[in-house]
Amino acid sequence: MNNQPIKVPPAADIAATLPGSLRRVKPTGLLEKETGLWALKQAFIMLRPDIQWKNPVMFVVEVGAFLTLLYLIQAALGKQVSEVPISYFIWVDAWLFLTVLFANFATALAEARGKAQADSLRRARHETVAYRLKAKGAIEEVSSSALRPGDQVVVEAGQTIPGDGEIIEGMASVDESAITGESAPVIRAAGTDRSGVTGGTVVLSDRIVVEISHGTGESFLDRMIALVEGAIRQRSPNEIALTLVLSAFTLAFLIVVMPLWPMAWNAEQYMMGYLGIKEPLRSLGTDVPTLIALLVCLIPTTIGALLAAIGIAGMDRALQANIIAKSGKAVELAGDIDVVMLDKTGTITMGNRHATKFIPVGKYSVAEVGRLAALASEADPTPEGKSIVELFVEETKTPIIVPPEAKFVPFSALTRMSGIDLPDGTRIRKGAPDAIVEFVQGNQGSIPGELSGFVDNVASKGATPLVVAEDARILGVVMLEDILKPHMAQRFERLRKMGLRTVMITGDNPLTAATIADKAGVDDFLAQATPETKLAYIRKAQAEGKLVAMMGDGTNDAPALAQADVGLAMNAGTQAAKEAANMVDLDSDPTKLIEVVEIGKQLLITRGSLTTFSIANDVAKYFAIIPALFAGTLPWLKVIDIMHLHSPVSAILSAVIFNAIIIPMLIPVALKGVRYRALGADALLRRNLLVWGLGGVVLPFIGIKLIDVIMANMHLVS
Amino acid sequence: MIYQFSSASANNGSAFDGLGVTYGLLTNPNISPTAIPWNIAAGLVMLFSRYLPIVAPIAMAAYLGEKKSSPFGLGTLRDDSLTFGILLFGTIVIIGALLFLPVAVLGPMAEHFGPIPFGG
Repeated sequence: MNNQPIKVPPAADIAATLPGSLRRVKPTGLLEKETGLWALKQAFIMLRPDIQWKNPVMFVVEVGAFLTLLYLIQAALGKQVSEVPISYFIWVDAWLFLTVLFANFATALAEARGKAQADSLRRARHETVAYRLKAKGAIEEVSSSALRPGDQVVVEAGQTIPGDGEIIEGMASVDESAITGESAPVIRAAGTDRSGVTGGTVVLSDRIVVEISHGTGESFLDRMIALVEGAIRQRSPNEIALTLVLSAFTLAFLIVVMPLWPMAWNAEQYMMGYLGIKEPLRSLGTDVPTLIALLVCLIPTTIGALLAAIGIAGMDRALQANIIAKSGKAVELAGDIDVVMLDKTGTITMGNRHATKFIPVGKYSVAEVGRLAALASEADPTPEGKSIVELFVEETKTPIIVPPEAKFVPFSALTRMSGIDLPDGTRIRKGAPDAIVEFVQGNQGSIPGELSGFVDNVASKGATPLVVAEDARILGVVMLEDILKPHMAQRFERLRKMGLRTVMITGDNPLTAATIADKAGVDDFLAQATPETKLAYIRKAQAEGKLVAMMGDGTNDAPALAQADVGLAMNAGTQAAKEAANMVDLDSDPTKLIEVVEIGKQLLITRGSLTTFSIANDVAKYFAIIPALFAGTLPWLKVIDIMHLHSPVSAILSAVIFNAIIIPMLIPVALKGVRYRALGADALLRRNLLVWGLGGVVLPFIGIKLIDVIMANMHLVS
Repeated sequence: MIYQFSSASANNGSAFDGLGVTYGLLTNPNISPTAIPWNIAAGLVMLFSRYLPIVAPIAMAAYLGEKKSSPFGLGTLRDDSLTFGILLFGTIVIIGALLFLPVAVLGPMAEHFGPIPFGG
């Protein structure tokens, strides 16, 4: 019978209180050689029409590029006469292909980075030796890949846990750095809400029996790895909707560009009649490759190219924050959350209550109450008991002397009190007020009148009262206080600024809960919470149209986790909770919900910003290309040529080149995400409209002019 | 020409007497040869660009109306703010300009800036 409590280094607690940005431990560089090379190769492979077809916007560009190639070949064979040199065709075609390649490269790079991250996770999950428990206690040695769900394995100190599962017997301290990057060990025990373990982690002390829940390759972590690698990635509803919008734009611009050929031809005929010339007047307006170039510049290629990369990068960022999302949709949904439900214990408070005051009743003194309380708690392994002893020793500077034959009475959920039986027959007890009152009345003792007043007073301060009694006398009350985690108030303020409502769930009585809720700064609380009340609260919020996010770890949390729109289960939690949730937190950190919401919002904002930028770019491209197309035929249209580019040919080339190189230039933005600030929707929209909308209108004017000047000065175009 | 079609599609129909002079189809034997195709074209344009943009958005509004409505909060996109107004206006102007600029350049703008046969 193991009475020694396992020492948990305090580092784990402190780490969990730091704001998220300080805790992230796995930043990956934007471009590493291997990922870059793999992405480059993939970019070419993705040119295949059946793969390229998945991205309609870039598919149109690819078709255009091939059409231009046909015209190029025709011109090379001398069949078609045009006023433009063949080098122009070669340039346009080359840059059109480069546009498609850049788009594929962006997607492939996002996937490659995901693969790199997934690989580092997978390295921890290699095959190890497992000791499977057979009937009658026999142990057989098997490889971890041979384990099936339902198998029970024994893992002892120093061994690696062979697969994902739940502890069914024993308690151990586990090093989870292989999956979380956090080296401080954590406690996992059977029968608690912290019974979940993951394959690849190492047991540091004691012996546990684990029941395997997933075979190799089928666990949540493996699934997430497959998602992030892009192997089983499905487009989320938001992405599908945006692709539809972009396809509609593409179609609209196709309809705009197609009549330009007959109209330009008509203009040529008119001019021929006007000038009285017999030779056909060829302008760029009837030149199909140029019209293709115009089409490619108009359709939203920037966002079309980067859309997939943004989605993959969003999942990637979730993985970097040690969150396993079961689908891309879950991450996006997190961005629209209205209500966040957090457990009090372990999230808002430190999780272990501390004794802060001894309150005597009647004629007893503080020291007496303290002494008896400490005596009753001396052999108490719980942190609450230890804090009582600490408080007494600190206040009186005298040690506790426990008679050697004294018998310790442990706490039980049935009696709700604990204490000590001294050898001379006295029984000292401490525990819940009503349980102690019963105990004293059972000993024919009387209850002092002011006791209920003191108990209520403590409760109203947000603390838990423990009554101390000796045989038939009640001595006083010990005040156990919840210590709030530092920084929590700031984090809730940040959530409030983002427009979210925080709800604290606790099993405490309403009075205590109200006080703690007030101190912590949450918007609402749910006291004396049971699984049914949690579920009811979520349902009520959803009926009002709100989206609810919830964090949980126990089996009794499973219905609420399933009902919530975003359910975040702790990796240390039970299997039922992990199955019910749509995200799993490897750090088992209760404040991770905040990170999840930010990542989701950032994903959606990045998509919106780049779409705005893409459309806004079109304005400048128009002013570059239209004069080039028609000013040759109708010279008085030069008045709209506000950019004064070198020549029609250079104008069109500059626009195409700008259109192509803006894609790789925006890859870092797509992969890292637009910087998210905790502002309301209105302020965010204003800010992003200014940066990406206005910037999108202005930047291409400068960019195209710059490219044109460079090309003219290098005599690359006539 | 552009005026004719755009008035058939969206304006108040001020060019409704068509491009080819007909003076009464049934009584006048000397109608201009392009009159009938023009009128048919204008009619088709009226059908597609007046009725479809009425039916489609109403259907969409009905579909969206059935969905769950989200409560108003700090994260809601407000449609009564100046920001939204500018966003809406900017989108209409940019998209409209993008769609019509090429034909506007070839048609009305050329006529305005050009010498006599084109408009003067």
